[in-house]
Amino acid sequence: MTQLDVIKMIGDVLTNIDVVTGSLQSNDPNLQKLMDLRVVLDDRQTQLSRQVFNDNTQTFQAASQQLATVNTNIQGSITAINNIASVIGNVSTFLDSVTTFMTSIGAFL
Amino acid sequence: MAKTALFLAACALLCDFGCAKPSAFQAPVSKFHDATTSVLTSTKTYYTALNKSERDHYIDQQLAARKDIRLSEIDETQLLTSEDIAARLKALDVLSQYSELLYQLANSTAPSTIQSKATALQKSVTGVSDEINKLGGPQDAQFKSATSAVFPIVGQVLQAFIDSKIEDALKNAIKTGTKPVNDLIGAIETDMIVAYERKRNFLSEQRSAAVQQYERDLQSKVEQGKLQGDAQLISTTEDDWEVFQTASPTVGLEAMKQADDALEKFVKTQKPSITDFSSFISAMEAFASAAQRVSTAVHQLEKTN
Repeated sequence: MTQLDVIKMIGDVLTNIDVVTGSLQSNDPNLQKLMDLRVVLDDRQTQLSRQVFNDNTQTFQAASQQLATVNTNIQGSITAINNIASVIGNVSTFLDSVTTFMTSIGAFL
Repeated sequence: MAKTALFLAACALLCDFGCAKPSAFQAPVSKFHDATTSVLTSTKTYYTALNKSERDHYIDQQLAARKDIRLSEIDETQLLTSEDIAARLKALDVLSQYSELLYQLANSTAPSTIQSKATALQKSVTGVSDEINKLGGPQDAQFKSATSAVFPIVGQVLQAFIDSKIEDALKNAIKTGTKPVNDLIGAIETDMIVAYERKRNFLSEQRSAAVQQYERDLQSKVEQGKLQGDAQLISTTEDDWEVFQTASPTVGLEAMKQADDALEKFVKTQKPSITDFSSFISAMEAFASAAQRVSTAVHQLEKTN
């Protein structure tokens, strides 16, 4: 995977989150939780967009592959509005994986 | 650009096989030129709007969270500095003018005019190269590397034009111009993918925000006029979202690379058959079509934002 692939992958999850937040009642307590997760994920995408990493390294490839696996595992269930607890769990898992990925490639140095 | 030169050389090659410069070739050259101009214009629009998207996103976020808005923080949101963007726009201008020059060569019988334009453009290339060399941001490495490879070649081709060595210039463009020009397009494409993804992020968030606003006002039982306004905003945002799906500038840039490849393949064909020529024309038309589609979408988005 390339750095641009990861930026796109995060973008796909963000748009899925927006579909969910745009489908919840305004007084649903889960709405704010999801929006908070979105803010952090958006911040991660911003940081990746501002820096350039060598995506040919073994470290980058291994870390991005792990992230891609998590992304594949949550596909489909991330927009399951009838099971919002699962959606929040999956978004949190993805966000954690992005943070791990970015730590691995030195994005927070 | 250099590929137009390739095409002109193809015309020259065909002439070697006993034909005069065929006027039929002017149509595909013209299509290539127009499509290139269109793609570069769309790309410029994205570069110009890149920081605006980030600024607006920051302001929206601060407003939603009822937080202070600071100019220093607005400055920090910018993905590229104003110098970065200015240098990229100037590089695009050079490519555009180069394309224009080669186009005129295909359609003009006044080489003296072309020579004076080539001289002016050569000066621009030197100035823009100096400017790009001064860039030191983290996103500049690929762009600097690509321009440092292509600009000297453009300079050599222009020098040959100035020296009235048109044929040498075309041969030079064929031999050395293809890869560097494609690498520069690739560097621009990288910027555009990031710009497109960030814009997608913001538009997607706006879709959700518009629906949430309607929902809140519905629950608060606001007057019908306010609710209608909310509904109209949802409708407009959805229209933008729909148009945006077809507005990726990378589609145009990719089509441009494919047109380049088609030109190169055509030039390398020793004795082009009717089929070769048909494939070549089809490739130029496909490029023109992609460029037109992206241009229309980008223009439509520009009007609504």
